[in-house]
Amino acid sequence: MKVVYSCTHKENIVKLYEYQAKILFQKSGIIIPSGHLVTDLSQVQLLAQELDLPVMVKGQVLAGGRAKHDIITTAHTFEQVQHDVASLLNASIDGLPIPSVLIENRIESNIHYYVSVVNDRSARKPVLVASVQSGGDIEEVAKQHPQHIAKQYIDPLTGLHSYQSLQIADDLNFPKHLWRKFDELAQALYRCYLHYDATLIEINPVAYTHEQGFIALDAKMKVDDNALYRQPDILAWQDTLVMNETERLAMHAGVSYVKLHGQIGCVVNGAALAMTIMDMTRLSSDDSIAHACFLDIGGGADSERIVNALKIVFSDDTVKAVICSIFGGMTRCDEIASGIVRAYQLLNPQIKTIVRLQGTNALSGWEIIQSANLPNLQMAISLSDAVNLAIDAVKENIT
Amino acid sequence: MSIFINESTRLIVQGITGKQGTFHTQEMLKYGTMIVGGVTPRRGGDWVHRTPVFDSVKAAMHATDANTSVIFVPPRFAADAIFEAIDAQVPLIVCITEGIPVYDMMRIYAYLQHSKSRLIGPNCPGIITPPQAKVGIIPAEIVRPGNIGIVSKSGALTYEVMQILFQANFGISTCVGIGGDPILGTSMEEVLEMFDNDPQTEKVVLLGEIGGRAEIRAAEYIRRYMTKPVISFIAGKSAPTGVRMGHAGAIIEGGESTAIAKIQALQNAGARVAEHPEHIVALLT
Repeated sequence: MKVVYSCTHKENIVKLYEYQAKILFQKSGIIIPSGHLVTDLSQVQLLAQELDLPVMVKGQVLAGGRAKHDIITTAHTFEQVQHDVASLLNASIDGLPIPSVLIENRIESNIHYYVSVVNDRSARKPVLVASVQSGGDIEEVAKQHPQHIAKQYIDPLTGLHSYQSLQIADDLNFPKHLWRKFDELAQALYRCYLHYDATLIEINPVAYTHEQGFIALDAKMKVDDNALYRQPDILAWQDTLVMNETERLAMHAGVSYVKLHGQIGCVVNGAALAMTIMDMTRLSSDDSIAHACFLDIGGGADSERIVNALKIVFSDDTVKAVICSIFGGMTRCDEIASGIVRAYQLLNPQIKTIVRLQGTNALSGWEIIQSANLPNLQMAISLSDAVNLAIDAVKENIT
Repeated sequence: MSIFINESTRLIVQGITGKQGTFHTQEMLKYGTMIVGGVTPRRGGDWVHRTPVFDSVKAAMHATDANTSVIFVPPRFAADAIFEAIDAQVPLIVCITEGIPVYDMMRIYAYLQHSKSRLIGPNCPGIITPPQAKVGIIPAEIVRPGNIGIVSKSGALTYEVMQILFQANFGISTCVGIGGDPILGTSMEEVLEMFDNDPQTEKVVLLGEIGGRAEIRAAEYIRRYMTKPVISFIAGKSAPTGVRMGHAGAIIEGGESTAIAKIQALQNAGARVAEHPEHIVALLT
C-alpha cells in the first residue's frame, strides 16, 4: 500500500466563502452584483418574483482554482434556477460540501481584469497585483505572459499611494478614462485587506460597466487567524468554516491538527519536532506505515489540553498506535503525565501508546505514569526508540 | 566570545508580572543572567524576584541602563511592546510571544529598518550563551559551554538537538532561536554571519523546516561567504503541500519552500545535511 499524504483540513489561515468575502467587500466600498444566498430549495421558491433572469447560480465551496468553474452555471429560466440549486446542494467537490448557493444578477461587460492584494513573504510587505488576463490561474499568467501582469509593493507604514495604482493602470494600458476608477477600486481593496486582516484578497474577474463602474464578479479572501481576536465579523462565521467534528474539537482544544492518511497518531509539543518524528517514521519504515495526523499541542500546554489532544487521536479509527513525545520547556512533564493518565481512564484505549517525556519535570512525569500502571503503554527514551516502538506496534496491530 | 548576549548583558523583562514572565524571570536569574528590571504598565514600583518593575520601557532604560529586552506579553499586546522597545532604543529585543498578526509584524519590520534596534523573533525560544546568560525559555540543564553555534526556527526541536549534543559531550557557544513566524526580526543568514565572525564558534548547526525561503537564502550565504562548516537538519520532508504545520510560517507554498529544495540548496552550498536529529552528532565529528 502506498501512503499518500494529502489532507482535507482547512488552512489555518482562514479561507472565506465567496459570499462572505463579498459582504466584507461591500462594507469596504467595493461594488458587488446584487444577489441572494440560499441554503435550501424552499428559499428559492420565495425568490420567484424577484429574480432578474438570466442569473448566475454559484455553488459556495472553500476549494479554489479549476474546481470552482464546475459549480457555476447561468440559468435562463426559474425552473433552471431550481434545478441547478438542487443539484449543487446535493453535490460535493474535492470532498468538500456545498452548504449554500449564491444566486446573482448577471453582469454584461467587455472589460474584465484581475486584481488582488496579497502578502509577499519575501518582501515582507503586501503587494497590489493586477492583470488584463482574468478568470484563470494568475500563477499561470505570470509564467506564460509576464507582460500581462503589473504589481506595486505597498509600504505597510504609509499605505497604498494613488500614483501606484495609476502606474499599474499605465503599465497594463488600461483606457485612460478607467484610471481614476481603478485607483478607487484598489484603495477600497487595500482598505478591505487592512480592516479585516486579510493575507490574500483577490477579485478574479472584476468587470467594468458604464452604469456601475468596477464590479467584483468573484471574491476570494484569506484572513490571518492570529488576528481573529480583533475580527468579530469573521469570528461569527468561524463555525461555518470548520469542516468536521475533529477539527472543531482541535480548534476548541487550542491544538494545531492536520489529518493525514497513515496509522500512527502523533501528539507532540512543537511543530518542527512533530514533523521530524513524521520524517523519522518514513525513514525507518517502508511506505506502508505513516502518520495518521500531525498534532502540535503548542508551548505551555496543561493537562486539560493533552487530554483533549489524546481524545482526538484515540477516537480516530485509523490510528493503530500513538506516539506522545513531549520535550518540556514551557510545558511541564508532570502536567502532561497526569493528563495522559486521565485520558486513559476516560477513553480506555485498546491500542499501544508510546510515551516520551524529556525536559522540565520529566522525572516526576515518569513517576506518575509508572505508578498508574497503564495497560498498553510503553516508555521510550530517544526519538528513534519512540518511532521504532510505534512502527512495531502498528505491524502487530495490523497482522 | 559569543554572539548577541554575554556577561555584560543587562536585561529588562517586558511582561514581568505575568505568569510566564514571572516564571521565566526566575529561571533566567537562576542561570545567572543579569536582570536589571521589568516592565508592566501600571505596576511601576512593584518588585518581582527582587527585580524592580517600571511602568514603561523608557523609564526602565533610564533607571537601569539596560541593553537587552525580552518580551513575554500576550499576543494582542506584543506588537505594541516591540514598538515601545524600539522607540526606547533598546539595542537587542527578543520577543518570545507566539501569535502576533502578520500585518503588525510587517509594520514592525518596516519600522525596524529605520531604528537602532535588532529584533530576535517573534515566536521564538530566545538565546542562550552558556554559562553567561540566557534570554528566553531555552532549558538550561541540557547545555554546556563550547564551540558549536546553533541557529534554529523552532523550540522543542532545538531542545532535542541540544540534548543530543549534550549527551555526546559537545558544547555550545551560543544558541539562537530566530522564530517560526513568516516575518522575523533577524534572518538565518544574519546569524550565520555573526557566528562566522565569532572567534569562539568553530562549527554551526542550522535547524530549519518547510515554508518560506529562509533556508534557501541561508544556503546562498553559506555558498558565497561562510568560512566555517555548517551542519543542518530540515524538518518536514514528509509534510503535505498547502497546509500550515503548526508554525504560522511552516507551509509549503511553492517549489522552494519544500524540505527537499532546502536540503538540496544547503548541500549544493557545501553544508552537510543530517537525515534525522541524532545523525547530527556523526556529521560533527
